[in-house]
Amino acid sequence: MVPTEHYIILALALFGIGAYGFMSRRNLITLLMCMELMVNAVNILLVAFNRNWGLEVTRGAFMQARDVQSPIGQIMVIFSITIAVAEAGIGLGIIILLYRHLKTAEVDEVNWLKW
Amino acid sequence: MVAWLVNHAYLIPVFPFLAFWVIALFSRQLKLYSAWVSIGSVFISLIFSLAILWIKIQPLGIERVFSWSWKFMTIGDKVYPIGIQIDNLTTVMLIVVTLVGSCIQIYSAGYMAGDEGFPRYFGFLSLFTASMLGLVLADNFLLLYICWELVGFTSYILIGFWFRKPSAAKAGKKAFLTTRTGDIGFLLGWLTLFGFTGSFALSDARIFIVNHPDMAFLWTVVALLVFWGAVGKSAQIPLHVWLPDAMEGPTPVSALIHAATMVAAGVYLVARTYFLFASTPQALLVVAYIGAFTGFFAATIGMAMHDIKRVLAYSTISQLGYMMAGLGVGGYAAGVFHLFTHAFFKALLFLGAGSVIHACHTNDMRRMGGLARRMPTTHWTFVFGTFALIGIPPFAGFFSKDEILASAFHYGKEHGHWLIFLLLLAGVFFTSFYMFRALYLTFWSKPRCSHHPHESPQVMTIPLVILAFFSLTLGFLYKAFGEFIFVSYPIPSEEAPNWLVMGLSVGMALLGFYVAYQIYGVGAWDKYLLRKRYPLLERTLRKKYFVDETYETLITNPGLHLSYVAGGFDKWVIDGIVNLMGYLGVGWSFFIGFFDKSIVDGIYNLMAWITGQLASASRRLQTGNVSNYFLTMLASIALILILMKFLFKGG
Amino acid sequence: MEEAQVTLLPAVEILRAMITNLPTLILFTPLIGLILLTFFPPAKEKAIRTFTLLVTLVVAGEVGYMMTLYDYMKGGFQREFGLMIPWFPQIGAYYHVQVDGISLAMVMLTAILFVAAALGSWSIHFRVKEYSILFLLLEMSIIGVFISMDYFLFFIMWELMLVPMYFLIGIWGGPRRIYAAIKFFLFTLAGSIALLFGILLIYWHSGLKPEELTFNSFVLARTTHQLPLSLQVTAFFLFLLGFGVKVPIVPFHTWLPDAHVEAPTPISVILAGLLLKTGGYGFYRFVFPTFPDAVKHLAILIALIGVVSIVYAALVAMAQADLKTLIAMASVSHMGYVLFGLATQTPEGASAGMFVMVSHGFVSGALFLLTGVIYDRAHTRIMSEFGGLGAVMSTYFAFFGLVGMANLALPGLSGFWGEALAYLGAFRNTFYLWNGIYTFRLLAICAAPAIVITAGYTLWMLQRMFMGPLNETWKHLTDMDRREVLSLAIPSFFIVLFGVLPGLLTNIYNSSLSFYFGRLGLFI
Repeated sequence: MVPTEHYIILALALFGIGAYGFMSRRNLITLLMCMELMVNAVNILLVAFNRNWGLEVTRGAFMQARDVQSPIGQIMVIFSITIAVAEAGIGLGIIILLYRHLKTAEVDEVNWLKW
Repeated sequence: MVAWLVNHAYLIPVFPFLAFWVIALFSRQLKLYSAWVSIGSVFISLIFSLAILWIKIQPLGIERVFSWSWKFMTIGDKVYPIGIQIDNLTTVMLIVVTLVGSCIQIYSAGYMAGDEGFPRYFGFLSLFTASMLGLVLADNFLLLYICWELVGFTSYILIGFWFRKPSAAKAGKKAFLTTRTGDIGFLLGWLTLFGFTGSFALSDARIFIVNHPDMAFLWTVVALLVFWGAVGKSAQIPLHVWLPDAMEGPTPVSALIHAATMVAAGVYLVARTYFLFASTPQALLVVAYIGAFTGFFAATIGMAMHDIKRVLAYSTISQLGYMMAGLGVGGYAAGVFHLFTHAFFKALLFLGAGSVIHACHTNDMRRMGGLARRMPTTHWTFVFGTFALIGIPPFAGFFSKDEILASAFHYGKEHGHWLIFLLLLAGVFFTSFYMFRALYLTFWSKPRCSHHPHESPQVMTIPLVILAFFSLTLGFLYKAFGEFIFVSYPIPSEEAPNWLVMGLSVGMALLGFYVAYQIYGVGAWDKYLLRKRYPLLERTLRKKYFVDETYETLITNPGLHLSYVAGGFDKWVIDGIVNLMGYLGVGWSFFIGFFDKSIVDGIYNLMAWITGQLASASRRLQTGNVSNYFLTMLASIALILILMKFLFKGG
Repeated sequence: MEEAQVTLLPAVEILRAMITNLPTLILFTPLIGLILLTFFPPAKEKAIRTFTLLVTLVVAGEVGYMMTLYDYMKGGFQREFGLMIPWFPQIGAYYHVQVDGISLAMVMLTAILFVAAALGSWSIHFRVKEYSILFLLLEMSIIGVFISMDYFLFFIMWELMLVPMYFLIGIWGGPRRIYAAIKFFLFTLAGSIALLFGILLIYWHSGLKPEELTFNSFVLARTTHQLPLSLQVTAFFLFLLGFGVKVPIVPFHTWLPDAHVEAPTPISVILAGLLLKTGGYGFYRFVFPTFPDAVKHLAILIALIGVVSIVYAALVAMAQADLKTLIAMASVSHMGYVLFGLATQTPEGASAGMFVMVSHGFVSGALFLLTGVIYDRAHTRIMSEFGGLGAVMSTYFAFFGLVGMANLALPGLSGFWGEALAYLGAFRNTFYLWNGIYTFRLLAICAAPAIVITAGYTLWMLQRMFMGPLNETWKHLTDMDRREVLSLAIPSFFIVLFGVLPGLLTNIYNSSLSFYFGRLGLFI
């Protein structure tokens, strides 16, 4: 079995790449892709931690103890993916609208909210 | 039948009372029939009264007292009964009220015909009859006082019957207020008795007073208070001022209320509470003196009046004075007997005057005259009434007045105080003079009428004849009457006829006639002699001793001024203080408002300004660049994590 | 005393109890009517008025039904007429309503007068819907004052009365309505504050454990007896001020003429007929039972206040030119008899106060309705501008005469009994300050001139308005119409009824009164 640390390192690497990209790139679509990278880094972490700590003791039908693998991490990941998809959809929609208005998708041009 | 009537005699005042309500609620439907309702009710009461009289004059009936009592009110755990009783005094009064009342009501139907207030008139006449009957039936102070007030009210409303005349409206008010001034005395008097006995009943008060002769001073005060009420109602000096003004009312009203019945209620009250007066000779003396003075002075004023009704009004005051004096000097039966006879002949005189006024359309005797031929019935009945009033034997007034004079004479012999007798005797002369003066001016002199008067209709003359008949005959009952009343209040009266007094009084009456004959009959003496010789005296008489003016200056106007002062005080001082407090409050609040705005609010404004400055300094951080925000966010999270690591152990 | 049953019930049970409990039903009927009234379109004035009248009639019917059930011989607090539900139990406030003979008489007066006033409200044409809503709110709060036995509930109702009254005077009133409304509100509010302090004083000093502290007036009456006299007297004076402003006593009466004059007719009826009675009722229900010791020491003061009010206000009334001011001052004068009668501490005197309150409710109500009748036609109330009206308005004259006579205490009309009983009470009280001078008799003698003064201003009023030659200006005036006759027939009927048969009225409250006061040893 692959040790959990490996997953953590992978996730950190992905997150770092995403964060760097988010800060350094100016194209909005690239930013969106970087966000997806960060979200997926967190998803990997969730699944990994679930495998590591997600063992529960519950009572069965005749009150005998038995070990059960908790599905919470996976559930969370599915939630997260769904939300990420929705977010990407909305984000792309916003970008398209912006592009239509401004003829550009550069993030520096869209700074109306400053001050 | 008679037994049934007597057993249900408590219904006597109920019939007129019901008649009042029937007329009051259905006056528009009844119209002229309201007279029938009213007369019918008083007739039923008359039948009841006659039934009682019938029982009373049976052998052994004279001692019988009928009484009824009802639980009236429960206050606390005490039940207050209210009751009526019929003893001999009450019987006499019942006969007077119902008999004279019937005659006058029949007369009224003719006299008031065509008046727009016809149903109203009879409604109030019924109410008056009911309350007057209640007054004489009451066996307790409470009912007595209630009816006492009610007769005062009906008197007020009937005096002001023609309320569109300002003088009538004023006279009604004056009558009500003056009698009410008297009523306060009566009220406080019986309340004091109530305070001691805890009961309204006259009999309880009587027992209490008899058992407490040590409190004689208090009983004198109480007796005088009660007498003050009688003074107001019976128009004695000094509260006599309302009665002459009360002549503004319709003449039958003057006959019924202001001659025969209501004004006699004061005398009746003294007679009814005689146990109270008898316990204190001082109170009786006051009663006698007030009565005698009233009898004298009212008669002197009567000589100077030109209004025929006012002459009769002063005559009434004077005669009521005689009754009071009679009671005061111990002539209990005499006083009550005079009340009894006076009711008939004075009602007769008033109705006769009414008949004359009806014919001449004026009250002023100077514009009448020569009516004897044109109105024979009125004339003869008026003469009968006059003879009865001035005491020509064998008319009724002779017997009753003579008894009073005899009692006063007797009193003078025993206790001194001859002044009472002398005043009363002098009063006879004046009475005779003003009555013959009235006869000459109205009936016997040359006609001075502006148009042709004619005799009144039969509905008016028949009551006159009936009353004239009683004025002639009632006097002979004096012996029986004395015995009858003796049962009610056993006080021994003069036994044998006092020929001296009799002669003196008849002599005085004839002297009065002689003077009147000389002046008005043959014109031998100058009518204006008095005015020429003693202008001041004449003026004093004509102005009724200036009593009205004195009251106006001393009581009415100061009272009114006091009320204006109180009103001004209320408006300017008490309300002024309130308003001042309001203004002060508003002023203070303006100051506080200023303080609030400049200082308190200033602090808050300062704080807001500082916040604003800080905010505008820090808003530069908002670059609008997403990447910057993200960096800040990451840095912050890292910072928080590091802080948590160091600040919280095991974080 | 039968304590009202304490119910700790779930909500449904509470609701059921409220519907089956008659006093509660009576209290909430105007409220329900008020809520229903909000759904009416404002333009349908006739429907709104009819509905308002209907609600007052329903209340009157419920009160009448309750009066048939109450046991007058037993008197006092009867279990089925009480309801006690925890409301704010943490501070000891309960929804506690209870009816005894005293309350019953007052509630009866309220129900009847509101019917008459609703009929009189037909002359209001401005914002009828809002008017009717406030009118019903007023009815509810006044009924609430008369049946609350818990100081907390009582005080809320007491203050709630002011709100509709303030608006009713301030919006529908005469030319100086704003001044009058504000004066009325502030004046009575000042009194209420004194009352509130008094209540809190006896509440905190009741000596009960903190978790037992209660606003229950019965319990507080018991605990107050054990307080030191100085504290009782202090609280008594606060109560005296609180209720005295409403009664009103001289010199706290000046809000009354202004409020009466400026208020619209039906509201004047309620003001004089009921609002003043809440003050008098407070003396019966709270002051005397709660402070018997203070009362015994200060009875002469109370009686003196009463006598001063009687005589002084009667004199002031004589000086008035405005009909409404005159009637307002007459009210002050008559309400003096309530305090005077009560201060004598005799069954007669206490009975007198109750009788005066009920009777004066009808009399002053009728007088104000009559004033409204003439004001609607002539648009003036200055008496000297009239004259000879009796010729053109005979029915009006008859009613005015009847009510005027009741005002001057003519026997046979209800006004008489209150005053007569007050004097009886004063003469029954044999308390004296020094030997042989009976204080209360002396005070009664001082009050007696008011009998003549009252007669004087009443007769003068009648003379100036109705008698004498007809003033040509008023030749065209029409007599009362059927609605006005009906609205006046209601109080007039009771004036005559209680005047001829006073026992009917005294029986309602007599047992309760003697039970209530006798138990406290107040009667001497």
